[in-house]
Amino acid sequence: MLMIHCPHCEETLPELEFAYAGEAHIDRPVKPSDLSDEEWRDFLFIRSNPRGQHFERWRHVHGCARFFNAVRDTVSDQFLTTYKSGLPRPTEDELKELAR
Amino acid sequence: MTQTISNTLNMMTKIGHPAGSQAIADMKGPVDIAFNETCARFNLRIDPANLAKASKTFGLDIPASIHGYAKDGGRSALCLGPDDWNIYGDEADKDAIAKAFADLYADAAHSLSDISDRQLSISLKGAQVADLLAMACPRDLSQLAVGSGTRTLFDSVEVLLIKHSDEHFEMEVWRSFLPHVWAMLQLGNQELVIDEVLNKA
Repeated sequence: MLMIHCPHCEETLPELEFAYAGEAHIDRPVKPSDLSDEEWRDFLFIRSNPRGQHFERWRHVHGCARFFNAVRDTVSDQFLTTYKSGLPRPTEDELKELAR
Repeated sequence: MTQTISNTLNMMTKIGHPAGSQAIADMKGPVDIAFNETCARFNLRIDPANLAKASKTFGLDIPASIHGYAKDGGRSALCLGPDDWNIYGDEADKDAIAKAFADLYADAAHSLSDISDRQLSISLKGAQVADLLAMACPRDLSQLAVGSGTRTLFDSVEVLLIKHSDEHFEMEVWRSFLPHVWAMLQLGNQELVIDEVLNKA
């Protein structure tokens, strides 16, 4: 079982309490009506789906119920870090340090 | 209210489901399992900056950190998330609590939902209570400090657990999940009996 660190509870807890919630750092357009159909499609459906480090949202649904962001390696399933929603994504240097 | 608890436990029988014959009254075993008295129970969502005002209204210092639990007389409060609390009082005080928070609203916007009837509280007491819970709870409950509580899972059912001491837990279960959780607790208690017999042999 994966153990996931919740940045709100500040505890590392079993995966069963959490739910995956898609890719992180995707801002909803401020004025959706200004977007072309293609841009709106990209916002709704087009995701990066990388092999390796993936920035994603998780929700501690059966705990504090908050959403937060995580960086997970999609190959090894290792969580590099988790951080509260709204914070900037970790820099590449920070991630390299965490991956070591 | 006792009538309501028995209705919930015998729900399967009442709707004519074949599993109804399994409704369980005998919960004997190493862990004492019993219902706590019903109470007034509210969910409170409020900006943490206004928590002091809510504490004053409620008449109890509501804990600010997640897992925090406070109890004083008939009132208690459990912090579930950064802006999410359950607060408890005597059943007779329900209207008074709702009124007090309604008066607070102009000063501090918040949401107070009456969830008294949504879930039931079960008391679990005994030296092996941690073993019983470990059967179906993924969380390492030895890491949960005495005098704190949390929302977690019990056999995939979302429950609240409050750890009053190493040998005394309180579990709150939504009414509709209760027959399942009750049956799981009974099964676990029976397994502990079997362990006892095997250890003696």
